[in-house]
Amino acid sequence: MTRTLAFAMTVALCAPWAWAQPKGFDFDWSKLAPKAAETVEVNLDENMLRMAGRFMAGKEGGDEAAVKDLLKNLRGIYVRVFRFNSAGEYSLGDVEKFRSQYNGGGWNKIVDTRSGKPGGENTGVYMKTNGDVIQGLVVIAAEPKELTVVNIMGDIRPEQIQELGGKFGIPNIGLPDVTKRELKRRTKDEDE
Amino acid sequence: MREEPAQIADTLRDAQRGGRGAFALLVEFHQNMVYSLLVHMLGEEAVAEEIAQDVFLELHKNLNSMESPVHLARWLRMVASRRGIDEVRRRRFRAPQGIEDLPEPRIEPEVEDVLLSARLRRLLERLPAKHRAIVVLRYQEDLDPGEIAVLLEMPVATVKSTLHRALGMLRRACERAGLGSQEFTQREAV
Amino acid sequence: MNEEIERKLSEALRRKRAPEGFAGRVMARLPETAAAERGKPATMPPRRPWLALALAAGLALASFGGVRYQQYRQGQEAKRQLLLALRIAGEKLTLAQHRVAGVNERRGEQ
Repeated sequence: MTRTLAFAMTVALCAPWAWAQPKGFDFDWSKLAPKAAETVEVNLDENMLRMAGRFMAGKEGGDEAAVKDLLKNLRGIYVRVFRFNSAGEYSLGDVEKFRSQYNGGGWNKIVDTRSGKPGGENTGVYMKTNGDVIQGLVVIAAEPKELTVVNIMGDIRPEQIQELGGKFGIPNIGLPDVTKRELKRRTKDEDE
Repeated sequence: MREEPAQIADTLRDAQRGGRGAFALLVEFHQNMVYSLLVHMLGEEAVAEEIAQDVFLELHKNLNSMESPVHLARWLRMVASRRGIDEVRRRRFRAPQGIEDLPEPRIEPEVEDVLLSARLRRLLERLPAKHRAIVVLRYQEDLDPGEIAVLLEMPVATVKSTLHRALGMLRRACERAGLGSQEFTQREAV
Repeated sequence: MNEEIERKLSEALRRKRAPEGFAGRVMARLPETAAAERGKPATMPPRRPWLALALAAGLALASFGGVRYQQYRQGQEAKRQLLLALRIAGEKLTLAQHRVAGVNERRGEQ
């Protein structure tokens, strides 16, 4: 019991420190945060992921078991969301600076969409590989009033997140025909 | 601490599997409700806390029979109010006289609401045990007479008549004490 | 007629906060074993020399319960953050996929 107690105390004492570490991004967000009306920050290092995993039900075939399984190969999940009251409150130049980290160095661009219009929307999905081993996934979504960056460190593929679609509020990533038609309509409207 | 119902359901399941931390969260989630019921019925914080702790220990023993978070909350209200009634009857809490017999010191009409609330709580402590429980469940927990009847295993009509009697007693005691008497008597005159 | 006093009662009987450390004190009184939970009497009545030991054990149990409780809360918070992160990641991947689909469809039309 002494050992368990010592372990429990170590975890309890280390956890707040782990939360406080601004890890996961090699970028200074301090300029952006004060301008944002709302921010979301998630910093989950390996220890915290393990801890979260212990609280996911391991029942075979269950929704939480799928997440638990996913966590086994992850080393960290870091998220920043900045929501602004109006468009143009952050510089796309800063976003480009951030994106430039993922040019080379083992990173592969999976998705890169950029709107030519001022205040348009940019998205980027990058994956880092070493041979056949996936080492990380970064998602950048720059919308007029919202900037989101997600860094998932470890072996993860976008399809694995897709498989979780419809559970825990994670959207279904598959694109329904209705959406496709709507997108087509909107694209036409924008082009006109 | 406010959790989503789904999270409470998860926490209840974890506690039923033996998770002490999960049980502690359940305690934390419901402690204000249980403690308030008892403190409002008994008027003594230390006694209220002791009995509130007993209620949660009893919950722990009966945890596996809790079917849902709603069932759990209802069970806690039921056990806390019954324990409160038992305690009032056992100790005859500071009620050597009935509410009607006690002379009340007069207080200036411009008495503050805070003071009025405190006096009302003190007057409540002079009501008979079941009257107190019904008033507290009605006005603290906002339960309707039907729900109170289920918790206290009484006919709904009895709950309604007891509540009516209790309010009458409190109103008269307030008037005698000069507490908000203007408001009460004005309304009565309408 | 009784409306005023009902309103006053609702104010007077607002829920109060339980005293600080209430949950911890409940946890400290919780029996550790199933046997204790069923309320089995102790096989030996406590004697004075054991009182200090029993007190120490009780305190250790209470603090251990507290640590486990902390751990549980942190674990639940980590789980909540994890699901939030996955939801945000899922949303933004959907957004990216929509954009790619939009671009492809535009190309297809040209």
